[in-house]
Amino acid sequence: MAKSRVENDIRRLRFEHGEMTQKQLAEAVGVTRQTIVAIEKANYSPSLELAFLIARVFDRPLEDVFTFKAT
Amino acid sequence: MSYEEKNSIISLIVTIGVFGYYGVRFSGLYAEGYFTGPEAMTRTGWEILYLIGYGIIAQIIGQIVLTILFSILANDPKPSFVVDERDRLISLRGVRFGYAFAGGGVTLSIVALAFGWDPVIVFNLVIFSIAAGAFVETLVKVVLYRIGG
Repeated sequence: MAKSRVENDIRRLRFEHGEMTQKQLAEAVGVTRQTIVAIEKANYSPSLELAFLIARVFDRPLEDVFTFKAT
Repeated sequence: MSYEEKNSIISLIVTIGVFGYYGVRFSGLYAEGYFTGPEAMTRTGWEILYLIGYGIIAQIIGQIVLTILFSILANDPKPSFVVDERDRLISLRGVRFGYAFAGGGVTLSIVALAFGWDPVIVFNLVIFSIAAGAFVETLVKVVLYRIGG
């Protein structure tokens, strides 16, 4: 599976938010833990709605969580 | 493992079981000459109806038994039933492959009919093409889940 061009800092942000687990984040945004794993590994690009929801959990603007890697 | 991934694996196992059984049963009956004469297509129709019937029952029982088994093996008494956007995307990709496979199979079956194959065999080839399409669809889903797609 090709890597997504959308990269993210979710792993670091989870750590900074009281070592939040992938499961806790998944429950907070209403997806499966496997989807969070796939997003963190940049195997899957979330929808805009999900990206905003994740950013809101960390109380950060979208661009602090996700970055687009132009090639 | 997510709910949809488990479902896909369970569906794959049940589909192999049901169509494996039907294939063995059909080839046995065909060899005995059960599908010959004017009743051939009527008998084929009934066999397919039985297949649909026990296919549905097998899916329900399989889902219940294997969901419990997965839960025990994963030591997860409260499995999640969440279905999200990634599940839907993977499902759509699976459908695309399955549809192409089933369509190809049905086309080949029609070609076989045009070349004079026994209509009973051709009818079963159509059914098997649809089943194979469903199988490929589920297989693609399982592969995409495994490689993290």
